[in-house]
Amino acid sequence: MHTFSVLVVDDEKDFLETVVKRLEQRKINVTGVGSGEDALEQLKKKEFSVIILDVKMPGGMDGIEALRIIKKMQPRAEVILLTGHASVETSIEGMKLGAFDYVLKPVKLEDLLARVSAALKRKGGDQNPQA
Amino acid sequence: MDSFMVLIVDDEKDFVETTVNRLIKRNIEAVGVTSGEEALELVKKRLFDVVVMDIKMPGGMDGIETLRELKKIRPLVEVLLLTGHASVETSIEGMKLGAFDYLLKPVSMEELMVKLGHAFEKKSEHDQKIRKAKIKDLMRFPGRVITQDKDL
Repeated sequence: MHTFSVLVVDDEKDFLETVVKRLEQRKINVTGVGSGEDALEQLKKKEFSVIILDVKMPGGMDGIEALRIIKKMQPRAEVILLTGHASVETSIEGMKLGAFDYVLKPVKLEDLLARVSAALKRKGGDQNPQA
Repeated sequence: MDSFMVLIVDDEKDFVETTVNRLIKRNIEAVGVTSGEEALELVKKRLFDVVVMDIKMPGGMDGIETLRELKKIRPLVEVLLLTGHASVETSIEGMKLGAFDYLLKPVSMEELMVKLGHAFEKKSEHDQKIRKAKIKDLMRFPGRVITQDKDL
């Protein structure tokens, strides 16, 4: 089996730390960053299997913009969007751009982990995983 | 069953015609074109579920270039690449760019049908997820739909 790695992008530090810790507990190789810009830096260095991305990140690059760039840089990465009730429409837009799924905030970790597993499963299910 | 739209892109005219005919016989809606440029024109106008595309198309845009543009126009379309033994590596490059899978030429109809099935399954699962998300979102504020209608 090949290893997979997950990138978590969220400006809420507490949330970010919790998710990173929980994924690490499951022996998943995980990186956490606090902005879209930092995420792009990571994408230049490394290939990720799954990217968890907050759609609303005040200040810098927004989630949809980041998603577009992610899909250009690493089209094979499955992106899971984190969204508030007010921004579900943005997430639907994101899914039309190829995001794998979305999870409503406040996020139940179990929900999120289930989505990550589903995304990894879809990747593993590709017909030519050596690619 | 949902209708299933397939676009075949190959510079070999005979192959395009035969494949389109065979798919139509199996009740799959299929259209064929013989260049990447034509394919891009067509996907702008119509919605396809799966595009089956030759990697090597001498003279015009090659498959990889077309794939890049196609994914920009229609990120959710699934792409199956057709490749000769000599260009398998290019196909793997194509999969990194988001192609769903590749098929070695000469392509057997059986194999094509299996891979089309998988690609369609993935596409329709995703379409369904989007539909569900939309419905869920609308149901949170049923009034919003009406308000929007009044605006019209």
